[in-house]
Amino acid sequence: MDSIQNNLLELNDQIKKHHLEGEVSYKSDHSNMIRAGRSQISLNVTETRELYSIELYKNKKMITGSAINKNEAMTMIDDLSKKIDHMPEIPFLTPIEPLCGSNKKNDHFDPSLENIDSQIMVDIYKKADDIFIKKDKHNHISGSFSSGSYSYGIINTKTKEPLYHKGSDFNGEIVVQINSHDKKEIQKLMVGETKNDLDLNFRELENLYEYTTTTPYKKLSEGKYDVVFAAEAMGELCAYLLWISSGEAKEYGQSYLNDQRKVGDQLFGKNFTIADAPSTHPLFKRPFGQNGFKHTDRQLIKNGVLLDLAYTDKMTCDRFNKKLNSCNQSDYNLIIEKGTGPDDQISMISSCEKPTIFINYLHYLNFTNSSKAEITGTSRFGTFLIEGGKITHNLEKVRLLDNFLNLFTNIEWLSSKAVNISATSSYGFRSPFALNMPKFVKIKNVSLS
Amino acid sequence: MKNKAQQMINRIMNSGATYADIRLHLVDQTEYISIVKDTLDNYSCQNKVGFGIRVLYNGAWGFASSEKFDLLDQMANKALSNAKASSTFIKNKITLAPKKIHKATYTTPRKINPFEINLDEKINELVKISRSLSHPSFEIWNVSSAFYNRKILFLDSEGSEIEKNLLDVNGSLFLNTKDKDSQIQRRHYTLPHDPKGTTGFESILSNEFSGQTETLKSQLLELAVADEAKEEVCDLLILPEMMALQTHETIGHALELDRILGYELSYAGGSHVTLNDFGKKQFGSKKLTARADATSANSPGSTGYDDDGVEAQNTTLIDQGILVGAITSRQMVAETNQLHGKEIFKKSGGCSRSESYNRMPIDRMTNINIDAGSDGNLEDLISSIENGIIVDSAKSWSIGSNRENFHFATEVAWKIKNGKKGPILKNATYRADSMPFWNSLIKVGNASTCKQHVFFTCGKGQPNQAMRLGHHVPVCVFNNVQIGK
Repeated sequence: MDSIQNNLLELNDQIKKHHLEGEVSYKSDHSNMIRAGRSQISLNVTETRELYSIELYKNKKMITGSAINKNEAMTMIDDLSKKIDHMPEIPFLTPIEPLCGSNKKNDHFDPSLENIDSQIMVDIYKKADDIFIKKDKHNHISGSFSSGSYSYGIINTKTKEPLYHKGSDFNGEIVVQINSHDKKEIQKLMVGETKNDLDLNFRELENLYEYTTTTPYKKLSEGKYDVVFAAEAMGELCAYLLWISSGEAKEYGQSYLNDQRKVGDQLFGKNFTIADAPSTHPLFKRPFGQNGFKHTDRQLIKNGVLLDLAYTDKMTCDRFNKKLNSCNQSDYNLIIEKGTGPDDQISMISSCEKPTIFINYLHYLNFTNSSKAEITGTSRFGTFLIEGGKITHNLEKVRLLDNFLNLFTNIEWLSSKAVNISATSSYGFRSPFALNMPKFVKIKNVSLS
Repeated sequence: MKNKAQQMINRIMNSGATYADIRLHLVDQTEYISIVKDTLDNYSCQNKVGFGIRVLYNGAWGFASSEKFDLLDQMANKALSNAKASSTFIKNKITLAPKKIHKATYTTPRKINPFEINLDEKINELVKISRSLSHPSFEIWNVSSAFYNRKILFLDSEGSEIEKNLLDVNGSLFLNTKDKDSQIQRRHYTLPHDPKGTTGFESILSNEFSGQTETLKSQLLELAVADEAKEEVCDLLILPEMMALQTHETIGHALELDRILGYELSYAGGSHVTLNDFGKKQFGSKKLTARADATSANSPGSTGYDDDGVEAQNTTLIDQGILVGAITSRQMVAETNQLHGKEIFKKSGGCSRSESYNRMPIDRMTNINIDAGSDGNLEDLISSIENGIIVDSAKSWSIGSNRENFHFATEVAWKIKNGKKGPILKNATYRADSMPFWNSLIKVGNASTCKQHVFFTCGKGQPNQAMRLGHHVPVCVFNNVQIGK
């Protein structure tokens, strides 16, 4: 850490020597990843990288560049300091301000994830293969598992001490392709920040396997259904919602927010609450954002009311006359508030007397019209029909065609138990991001085709 | 550096590896300029170097990369130890299809190297284009360009020695306005590449880029007062920018051999195509002939040689509707033929590509193209449609994990009634199952309707890799497509 801190101080001084204002940010990672396909390891990779990003300011002019080590960064500063005079003036550009983030002692760095023995990663897939090949020799195991460390730091010419943070994480998934049953796929996800977080319990994956192989297949007709989304599916929806609920998305015309739907309005149901909560989130607590902004607890949506818009980018703030008020969304520690609903797979299924669709995962989500908050994507890794408290059919993948305003207004219940869901596939400048989510969420009248 | 790398390969081979290669990025420069509302939004540049080492040991891959050349031996050892660990869970040992050994140099054809011209000139040109996009009723407009310059040396244990000097130029425009219903409408445009032309700043200066601004502006002004496209089943005429995405998502990705085999299953997904389909499957109507053509002179999908060291080729994928080929690499070709018990593919199609030195190559698109047809020019195609809709420019895309179905939203559409093009419509979407859709291809425009559109951020793989590629496609007409649901 000291050497990185010193590097940032030296680079900051170099900017000052040119009589310029500026900022230097730093990122590094050490990543390992294995990937399995067709029940064997298809890829086993290691990477180590660092990057210094430089922003220089001279009155109403600015210029940016990046370099892969300190010496190159020094040269880059010298080079950019000559080029900045050729840049056009940006009339609305404001001076940089002192960084407001703070350094805190890091408690969550596990060195054993940084230099993990790749045999440990290989053995995860061997174990899965042992379990599922016994059930049917035609089953295929796939997935990837990534483990490593990351660090980031930042300083600017208005700040004396650099901010620096280092962490570790792993994330991965195990997919079973059930070739004897129309190549249906089921999945188990894994995420954590120390080796002790690794959970290799396959019980729920085995349950999904049983539901897929012992129930008849059915094709769903187009219509509106009550749906239970597993945390992985709901987490994807929440991440997409937040993306179009940001200040930047609003200013650049990529949001559903307008004069009729704005901050302070009741946009969603009263049982829907999302907070960025670094003080209580179980994973990846970051003391400051990669933009240098302090990271403190903040309600984003409270009882269905949108409370605030996050502005994280200086240039956007300058252009639209806004104030930088948040760390980047990728640094958030998101918690979706729990409810009182069933907290495990068995009780969730038992609770659904009326026909209900159970969706484990959503693949390839995208906005069909962000102005209307419309979204689409297909179900994956297990889609089932629950009737009379039992899984009665496994279903062909269904396409979600709905909008966030309907979806998050029609939440019937949220589980009373929360789980951690990884929302990034982290490797290469890894930036782990996990949502703490109710294990299941039931939503009424969801449009599926 | 070359000698050190060669020595490293020899040492790894002496340690029991059956194959090793290295990609050295000796130069890797990026320059990006973005202008928003006539004002500089971002100018950034990046210089880097690095290397990636790939080792095959006991039928399993290991890979390691770094940006520090003094870690060459350490990373080589790591790649070897990764391969050894992988080899403890291998059911079919990885082998590589034979290839011709090349000692060669490939250089992207160019006229004006953007890294050799004055910075002011580049910024001023983009500001000029931005000013021509402006309009009092527009919320925001943007012009951006990115330039990539790479010098890559590829060496392998089979004797290959390939130097690639690659230049890529990307240009794009977008403009937004608020419509009569307070929704944001948008038009965007990405600089198409002339497949027989050159890559350089000359393309930013060309009429293909700056000449589009008036068309885009007038379309956006029409969209601001346009009606919504109606829900119906009708004929669908797809213009080239949208056709490029249609081809990319439902032909290109579906025909990547690693996806077909199941190696992408846990992330990007699989394919509805099976090994038994080659030579038999009706993948489209007889109007459809598609190729993977890496020999196009001017495209980010053309690099002379792939990252297995295999030469660029023009491979037929679909011949008059029949599936005959795939997007292939040495590993996947060897494994497919072994699994199938007979030769499906004679050799690698030269499609093993990696985003950069820090990623291991996987099966990727080069330029996935559709042959021009004989159904006339754009006016001929429109006049042949009784009830249909024209669409262009993707607003969003979502595709089934086996590429078996899709849902696309588009930026701009026009109704066709009795062979006449009507006013602009907004928010047109369409969706279909992939195979019925391609089998409903009823007309393919002639060469005058073709454009080569390029993508710079095609995502695939774990770790994820963003790939650069192109699609040279004509205007196409499909029968009975679901619009607006």
